[in-house]
Amino acid sequence: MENTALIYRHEKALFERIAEGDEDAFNALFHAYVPLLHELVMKVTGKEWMVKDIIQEVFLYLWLDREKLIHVEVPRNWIFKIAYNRSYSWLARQAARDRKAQEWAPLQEGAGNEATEHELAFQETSRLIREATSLLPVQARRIFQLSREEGLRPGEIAAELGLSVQTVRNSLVRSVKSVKSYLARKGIILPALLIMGLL
Amino acid sequence: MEDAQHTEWRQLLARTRNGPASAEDYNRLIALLNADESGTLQAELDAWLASAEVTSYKHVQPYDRDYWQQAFMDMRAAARRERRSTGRWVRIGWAAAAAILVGISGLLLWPAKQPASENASANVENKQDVPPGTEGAVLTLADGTKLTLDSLNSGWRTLQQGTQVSLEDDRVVYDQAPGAQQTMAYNTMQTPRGRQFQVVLPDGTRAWLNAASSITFPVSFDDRERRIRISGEVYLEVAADARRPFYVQVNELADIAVLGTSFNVHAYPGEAAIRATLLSGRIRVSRTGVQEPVTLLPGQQARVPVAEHTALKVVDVPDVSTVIAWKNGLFNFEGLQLPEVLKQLERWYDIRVEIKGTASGRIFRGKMYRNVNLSDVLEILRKMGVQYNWDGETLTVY
Repeated sequence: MENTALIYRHEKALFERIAEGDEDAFNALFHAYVPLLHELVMKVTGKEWMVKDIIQEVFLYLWLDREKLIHVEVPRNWIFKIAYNRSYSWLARQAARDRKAQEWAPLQEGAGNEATEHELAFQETSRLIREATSLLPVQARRIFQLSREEGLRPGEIAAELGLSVQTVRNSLVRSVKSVKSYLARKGIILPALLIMGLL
Repeated sequence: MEDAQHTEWRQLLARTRNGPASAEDYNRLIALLNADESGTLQAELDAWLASAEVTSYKHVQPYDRDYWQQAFMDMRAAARRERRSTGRWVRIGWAAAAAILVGISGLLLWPAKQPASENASANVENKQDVPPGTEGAVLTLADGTKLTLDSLNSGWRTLQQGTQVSLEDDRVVYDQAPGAQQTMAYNTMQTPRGRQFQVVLPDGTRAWLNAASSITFPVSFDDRERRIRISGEVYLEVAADARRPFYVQVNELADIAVLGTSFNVHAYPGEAAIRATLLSGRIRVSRTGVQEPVTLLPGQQARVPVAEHTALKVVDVPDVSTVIAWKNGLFNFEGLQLPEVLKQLERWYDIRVEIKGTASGRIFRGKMYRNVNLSDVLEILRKMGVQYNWDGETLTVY
């Protein structure tokens, strides 16, 4: 039990660093969670070849919404929640696809379908995020790209663009919100972070 | 209410675990889970996860860190693909690799009209070859109309705000009539991958666009200054006009102030720095939004790092002709590492390149004509010991 408490403390510290844009911390969290998420995705989807894709998608989201991480009480639950979300969402798309395949071309089932679907989950999501990014106003986009794509911290971005750190932080909050609502309009709805005392 | 939800949750879990369920069931499950503030629904999922038996993932032990590090890098690279196509870790990996100097100048001076070799390497044969890029571009007029210049005949012309625009063979010429109205109507010339093009701006400035590049300029410049925007790689010969300084904005990251001169700007996304090389005259280069410009002398190159909070650097270029080799129909591989060479191929042949594993840090020397088929270039790479696979779409380099 003491061990669990230690792990939580360690993860909370990692989350704080990730929220600030620390890529090394993000990388460490990734490796810590791959074995756990591997099991989760495997058990939920039953597809070994979907594991990497979904794990990449989960971490793409964590990075996108990383400022939220400091408010998470139990990091593991939050990461698992997103992983469940993405795994079931893949199953939902797969089910819809299979139904269509049965209606239209009963003979064309099997490996071909899986290969096409394999392209979709992660690539599609990262494409949508880029699309959403391109719709941001010029300065907001620049701040967002320096933050999410280049991995700069708010202080570094502020110095680079000659803005106050608070301006950068406010802009990032607005941009993440706008990117997420774009994803939601495209059918990718992620769990909102609802914590007592917040929101 | 709470109980009704709970019952529904259990039914959903039962259905989804006994083999494939319907899309509606999965979506409902997600909606309930997303709205689960207390965490009780998720706790049931977790409990099931702990008890469920699945054997095929056992190969996870031992943990394959290299495989997953690559997956992590791919994930980060996908997020920043528009700006940097390779991840930071890849970059460090390359830098760390021992640099093997290979003197291949003679080999790379490939004859321009070499017939496509009959006995191409095993990796190339039976796979679709790719012809070299040619001249061509898309011109976007002030009203948003897009014209594909390839499909227009030489001699085509149009009039915009008093400025005559005409297509002459491989270039577009803007001819500003004296006293033409000075509306800020902008045109954009954009070359796709595999194409290069030339444009003569309203003030007589000549611009050569390398593949995957663009230039935005007013149909008529005003009396006080000339301002254009570029990205990708553009070589400029700016018409002298002391009364109207010429300003170039590069990728919203760097500014160049010019007084009658010729210089090359290399500013592709995915590269560490914007490079401005002066051939003649004088230019001032600065990071956008930062004062303190540096003044370049002919033969010097200013490097503006893309994101790092690093100062602008000036270096001497021993042979500036290598920098504008592309304009004269040559690939310039001088002093480049394999990833940079591959980037040039990617843009010129409009192919996809994937770098797998840890390739060596060998440095290339020399130039090579660009009007050859991809198979010819691949043949040279193969002779140099570069291992690759070409499947007709993607060039995978090991």
